[in-house]
This record gives sequence, structure tokens and C-alpha cells, in this order.
Amino acid sequence: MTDNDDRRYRIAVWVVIASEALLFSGLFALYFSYRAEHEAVFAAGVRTDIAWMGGTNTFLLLTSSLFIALAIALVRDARRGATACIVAVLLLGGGFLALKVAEWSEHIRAGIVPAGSLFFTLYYGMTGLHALHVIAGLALVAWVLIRLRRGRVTRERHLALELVALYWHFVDVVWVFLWPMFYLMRQ
Amino acid sequence: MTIRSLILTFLLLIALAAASWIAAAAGTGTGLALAIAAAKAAAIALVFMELRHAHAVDKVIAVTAILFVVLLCAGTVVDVELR
Repeated sequence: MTDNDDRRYRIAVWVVIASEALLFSGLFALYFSYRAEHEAVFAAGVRTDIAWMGGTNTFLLLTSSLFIALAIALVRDARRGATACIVAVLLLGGGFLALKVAEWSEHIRAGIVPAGSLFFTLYYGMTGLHALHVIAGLALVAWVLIRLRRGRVTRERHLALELVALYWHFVDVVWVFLWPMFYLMRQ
Repeated sequence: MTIRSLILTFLLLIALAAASWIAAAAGTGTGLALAIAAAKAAAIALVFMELRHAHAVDKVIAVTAILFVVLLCAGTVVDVELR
């Protein structure tokens, strides 16, 4: 692969991220416009959400971002430990999804369903779309782990790891905004 | 990116997350919550995503996307608020 190919792949991933950002921005706009019209419904919805689960999930995703960035730094320095970092990303991402499933199950048991209110329609829609991105990200991270184990991610050639990390960090950035919107903005 | 700078950025992110939690408990408004979220997103983009040292083309794509996200959200909310 030439340097030109590297540039093309990198630009392609940034374009994918930009497109995804615009997809989520439509939903953010919907959330804030509905919130402006139905302030009390949204504040009550946020108070209903399980705050400790949202907080824990934030910690899990931020930590996973650190580990995937550490994996890149270790590969670039030809040091050991990148595989362990990638396994940690998979475990942390898996933990995020497990907690999300537990949270939804708790809500559904309590009778809080997607069509229950404007807030919960957006809550299930936006966190669900984000969870799909986490699943896609985990599949990509697992693919990178296989490449790493086969010795196909090296100090000289590690573009795949860098591009998957870019996508994983983007998934983290989206959650950084979803967390206050659905768990913290109680007023 | 050095391992030290990555760990320092992570500690900054955790501190900002704690600030979000405290601000919410203190009953501050949506503006502060979103400002802290934006600070966290900037730290992730600049350091973890290495946007600070990225190629100019990557920076143009990222900045354009951020600009359009802000314009779309702000335009929609302003429209609702001014009705």
C-alpha cells in the first residue's frame, strides 16, 4: 500500500465520521427543539433515567478510548501490550452494551416503552442508534485484534488500527453528548 | 502521541465527567452541561483522534462537519424558541 492509498483511506474514514455526525445532528436538533417546547416532560424523563448506569457507561467508553489510543502508541514504539489494550477495549465496549441492555430491561419492566412519551421515544431511538454504532465499532476492533494476533499490525504498517480507533473515538464523542442529554439535564 | 499525554488527557476527561455530575447535582442549566460535553469532545478529538497533528484535509472535513452540526442544531432550536 502506498502513502497515497493511506491518505485515501484516512480521508474516507473522516468523511464517514462527518456523515455520521450529520446523521446524529438531525436527532440532536429534534431533541433540543422538542425539549424547548416540552421542558417539563424532558426534565421528568431525565430524572426517571438510571443515573448511575449512564455515569458508569461514560466511564467505560472514556476508558476504552484511552486503551485504543494506548494500543496505537505501543505499536508505534514497537512495545508489547497492544493486544492487551485491544482486548480491554472489547471488554469495556461489551460492558457498555451489557449495561445498556440491563437499563432498557429495567425500563421496560417498569412500563417505560419507546412510544411512552416524546422523551422516551428519543431516548430509545438515540441510545439505540448509538448502541448499533458501538456494536459496529466492536466488530471492527475484533477484526483489528485478529490482524494484531496474526502479526499484520506492525510498527511500519498499522493504518487499520488507527482508522478503527478514529471510528471508536467518534462513538465515544457521540456518547459524551448523549450522557448529559438523557441522564444529567434534570432542570 | 506519548503515553504520558494520553493518560493526562484521560484524567482531564474524568475530571470533566465529574464536573458534569456535580453541575447536574447542583441543578445548573443545560448550557453548562453542553459546554462541559463540548470540552470533553474537543479533548478526545484533538488528542485521542490526533486532530491537532492531522493532515489539513482531515482538519477541513472535521471542522466543516462540526460547523454544520452546530448550525443545524442552533438553527432548529432558535426557530422553535422564536415562534
